Amino acid sequence: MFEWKSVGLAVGIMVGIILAIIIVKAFNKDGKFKTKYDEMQLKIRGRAYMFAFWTIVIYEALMCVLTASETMVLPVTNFVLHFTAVIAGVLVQVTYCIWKGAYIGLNTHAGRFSVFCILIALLNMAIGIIAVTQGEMFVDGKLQDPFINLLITGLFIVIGVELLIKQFTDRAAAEKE
Amino acid sequence: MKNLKLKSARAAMDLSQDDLAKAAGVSRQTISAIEKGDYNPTINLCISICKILGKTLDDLFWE
Repeated sequence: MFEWKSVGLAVGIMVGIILAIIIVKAFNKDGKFKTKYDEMQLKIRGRAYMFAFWTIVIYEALMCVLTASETMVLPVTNFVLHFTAVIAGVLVQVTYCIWKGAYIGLNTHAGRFSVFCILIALLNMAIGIIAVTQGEMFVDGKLQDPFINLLITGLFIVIGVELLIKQFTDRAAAEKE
Repeated sequence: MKNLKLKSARAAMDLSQDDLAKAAGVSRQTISAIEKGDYNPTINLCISICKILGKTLDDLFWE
């Protein structure tokens, strides 16, 4: 059972990578896979990766302490516990880049990217809702793997809202200049 | 420190931040940050901006 789950996960990740390549090419205006950034954006992105790295390190260290002491049993599966670190890191990196104007690349089609965010959020929300209705979300007092889908839904909603606010404030700043 | 010389040179050519950014191959936010003094551009970008605005490095970037 566990082996099939691992195979499914591996296949899912591979399909995800292939889809990501196709999607990234689609929302770059020049049809290229590589998103272009200018020198200031690259500098900001470097700092954002550093913040994301330390977020994951601190989160994982904290979870090690909490789970090793055995005084506290976290109501989540190991998969959810560690995948949350990835989501936290992504959230920190993306949020910092958005507010500093380094998230949308020079060749990125912002409109298409927003639609992509909405689609990913809806897809994950649907999977999460199905899991809730089938009683697969909370088993044996622990949040199960489909909880990740709800976390990803939240992540993309936050990204979408941040992008909208940033676009609005940027437009206002451009009009004021 | 704000780069008012860059801002006035851009305005004199009737260019928006977006126009200058596109000509220099950078984002509007980068031009905005340079004008506000929030970002110190590389010499390559300084040269590129000077060429677009028909100015020298001394005119725009030397204090």
